[in-house]
Amino acid sequence: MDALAALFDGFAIALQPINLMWALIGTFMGTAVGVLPGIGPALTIALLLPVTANVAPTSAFIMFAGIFYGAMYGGSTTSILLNTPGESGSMMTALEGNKMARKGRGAAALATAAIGSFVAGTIATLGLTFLAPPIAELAFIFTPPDYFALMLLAFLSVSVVLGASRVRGFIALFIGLALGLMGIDSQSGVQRLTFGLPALLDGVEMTVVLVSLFAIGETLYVASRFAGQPPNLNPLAGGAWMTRADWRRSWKPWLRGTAIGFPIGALPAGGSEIPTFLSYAAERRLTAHPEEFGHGAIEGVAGPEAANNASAAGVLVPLLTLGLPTSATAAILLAAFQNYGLQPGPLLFINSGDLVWALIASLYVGNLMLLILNLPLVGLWVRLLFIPRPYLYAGILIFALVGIWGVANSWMDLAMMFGVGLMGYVMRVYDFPIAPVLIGLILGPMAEVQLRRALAIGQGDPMALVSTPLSAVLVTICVLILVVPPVLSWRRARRVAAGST
Amino acid sequence: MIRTLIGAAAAVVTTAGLAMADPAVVMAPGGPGGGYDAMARQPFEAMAADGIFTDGATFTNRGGAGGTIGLAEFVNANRGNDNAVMSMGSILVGGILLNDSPVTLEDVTPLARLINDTGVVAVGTNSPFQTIDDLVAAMKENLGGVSIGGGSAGGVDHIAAALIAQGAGLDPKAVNYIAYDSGADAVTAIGGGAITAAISGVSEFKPMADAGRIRILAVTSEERFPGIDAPSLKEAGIDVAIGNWRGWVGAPDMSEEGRQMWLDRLTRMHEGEAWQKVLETQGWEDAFLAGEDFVAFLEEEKARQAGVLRDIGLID
Amino acid sequence: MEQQKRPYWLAAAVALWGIVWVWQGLRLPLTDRYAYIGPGLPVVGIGAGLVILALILALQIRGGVPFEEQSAEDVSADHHVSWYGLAFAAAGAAVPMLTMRHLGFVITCMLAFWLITRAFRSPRPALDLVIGAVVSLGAWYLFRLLGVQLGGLLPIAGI
Repeated sequence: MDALAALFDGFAIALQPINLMWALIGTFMGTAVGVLPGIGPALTIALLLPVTANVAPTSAFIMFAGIFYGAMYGGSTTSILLNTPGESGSMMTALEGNKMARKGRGAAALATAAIGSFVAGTIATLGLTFLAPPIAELAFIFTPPDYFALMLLAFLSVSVVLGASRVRGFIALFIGLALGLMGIDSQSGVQRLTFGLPALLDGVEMTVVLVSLFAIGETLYVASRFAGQPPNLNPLAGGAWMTRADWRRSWKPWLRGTAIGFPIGALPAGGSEIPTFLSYAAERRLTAHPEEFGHGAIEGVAGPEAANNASAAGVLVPLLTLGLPTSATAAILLAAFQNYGLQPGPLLFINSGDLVWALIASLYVGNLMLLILNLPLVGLWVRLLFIPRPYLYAGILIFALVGIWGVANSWMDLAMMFGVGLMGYVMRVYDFPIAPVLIGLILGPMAEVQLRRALAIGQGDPMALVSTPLSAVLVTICVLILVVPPVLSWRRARRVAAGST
Repeated sequence: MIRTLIGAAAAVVTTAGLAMADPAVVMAPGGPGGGYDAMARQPFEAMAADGIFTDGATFTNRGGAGGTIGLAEFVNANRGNDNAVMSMGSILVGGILLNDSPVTLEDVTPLARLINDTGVVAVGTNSPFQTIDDLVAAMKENLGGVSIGGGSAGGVDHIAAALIAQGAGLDPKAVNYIAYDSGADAVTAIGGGAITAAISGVSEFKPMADAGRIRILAVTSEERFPGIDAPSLKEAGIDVAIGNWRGWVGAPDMSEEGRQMWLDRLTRMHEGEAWQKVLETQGWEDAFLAGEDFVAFLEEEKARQAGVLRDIGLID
Repeated sequence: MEQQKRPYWLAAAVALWGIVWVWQGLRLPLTDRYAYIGPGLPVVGIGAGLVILALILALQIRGGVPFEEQSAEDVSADHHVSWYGLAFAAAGAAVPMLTMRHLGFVITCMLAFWLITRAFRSPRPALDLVIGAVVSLGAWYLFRLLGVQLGGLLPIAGI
């Protein structure tokens, strides 16, 4: 096999000691910037790109792969330990991961995230190596009705995070949807809900809402109810490592998360959010320990983290095979590749095969380096929880400010931070779930655009929404999710009633 | 002696200051992989290759609404920053008119027009339409049934679609136009047959046409475009010629020194070899116009676009 | 507390939010030639949804639905509310709005850091201010080095 031989040549380069060192440095820097709340992978890579300009092309690629995976992984540490997800892809990780950390299982949560990221990254890179062309075709197969149906499915399946009170869950969801409508409407160019403020033309910045709701809301809430005692739990109480049961419960979510994340990441409108939502929902339905969900179930960390990392590799598929950058991260990668004379596209493997194989080999190495760097650090990271509370929360605020102020230098974002932070406080006091706000804010605008595109193409015919086989199947699944559980419980109730008479 | 030491120290500090990388802050008011994105990134590559500006740059992509979303953010975030530039072009001029944007090009510092990107009309390879005449005939039969994709609502692509309809004696307001964030999104949509046709720049569509994914039916320049086997719209009997020029503006309230510094860099880049290579690989036509000439051109362009948009009923 | 048992103001706030959205949405074009759904329709729809949900919430509140506070680490078991802590923490979150533009990132962060340590009743205010200054300056320098745009050291003085 030519591909295998070429890949081995790539490895021969990537595994040289000096290149391994570059991989380590890249991974470290990627993780360091990636942990900042509000600074996602795209920005991390963009910020660190100039650093790679001073080294030789192959070394630069290797460093680059490290930055890429380090940036993707960085967000999970703060999500798990401090309940402050910094980007949308690690929000679902925070839901269960932080509950685990509070029970003293933080090390296990970090470990399953790190190993899950490694497993998903490796499988997805294998997929990229051998299956890229067929996976890339997905970009052409998906039409607006398909995207809309996929988003409908994501909406329905994440209804599991709505919390105990459905009404308050829906209010949270609708608040997110309402926020998502602000700004210029892309389909018509009309200004919506901007109230004449130019700063609102670009809409509500998702990461600002995310960081404010989680980090600022939590700080206000804890400050107002602080017991004053020193940290009362030992972060290592549950053992520094994953138990046998943890392994048994993690490996399937890793694989499922990979299977969900990789293909969706390869779609032009896929992103990392929908895969993590779907993975979380799937694990919650499939788990053997449903009672643990919402209180720190390891599956809820393993699945979404794997999905997040797999979607990152998925982004590379249309980029390398078609030259199509489908996300901000991919656009930055494209620019970096072009720096070294790589022109991604259909002819990439023919024109510059050796460089591409070095890059792909680097992805494997970068991924491994991430694991080597992060597993030993797990014990160190959990010690973050020993920081005295005044300094821990004050530090969180500073990191949140770096993220929020550093992205756009916008006063409106700071005002939003305060306002949304207060909202997060009220929501905690009156037991409104937090996650649905973000789900509404992320999925709402995507779903609206696809719905209006699909209807416009079908000239207003609602049947256009199920006009493709894929959309028909997905919509049918949605209907089943809505209809089957009530019907089952109704029949069960009837049977019980019949049995008692 | 002491004075020399201080002098030497000062010199060291100054050189260290100069040597420290000071990356430019760059806004691309379009989705990743689109025209504004390339317009933002490519000049920096060329300037770095020719050693004109080597401090690198941090890019922000803000697509949608003809680029006015990106413009608003650029103006909000970078007032008085001599190191901040933004890629822009004809779509932004139209977008400001269409959206009645409170932030306009009056708020920024015009630098230069750099290139022109000829538009192309394309369909998927599996499409039944072989020529532009086939497409226009289908539009005449059922205008709503022919969905045409392209960049943001009211942009050059939208205007071109409306002008084609008008040229065929149809109501330009009734074109079923589907706005996408970038040409990269529109190209997968026609490639997979989700929409009937799409209009975008040569630079975005040519690679996919070369790969056999899409078929280019016509180009929107006056004459045929070298390397593309398709007639111009004028040649096909539709009296439409429209280009998508692109260039750079600087931050609001940029200092005169800052403006001169960028004009100087761009002029040197334009004369350099690396830029010629970029023009070639991107399929762009050179359209360099800097300084005061560009300011005058912007005024003309604004008046022209307002006229066209009014004619086709997109603004009142 | 009586107010916490019957927090009608929650429903009122949600309803008000919905009404503003409906009102704004009705001023936009509701329909579109081909998609039928114009830019205004989703705004009106979401706004109406908020109003309906607010009504249901109001009914629930009248029916005496319980509002149990969410659990969090470091929170006292009896959920005793310290308005002192809340006021200082809120001030810490608000101070960037007032000072970021003129006093710059470092001073803003130092103040915010100090206010949060006050909220958590740290025993050594002077030391906290020093730690805040060191952490802020360190973060500013390090992340600026990595290319994050955090602005000058003291913008009002032009540096």
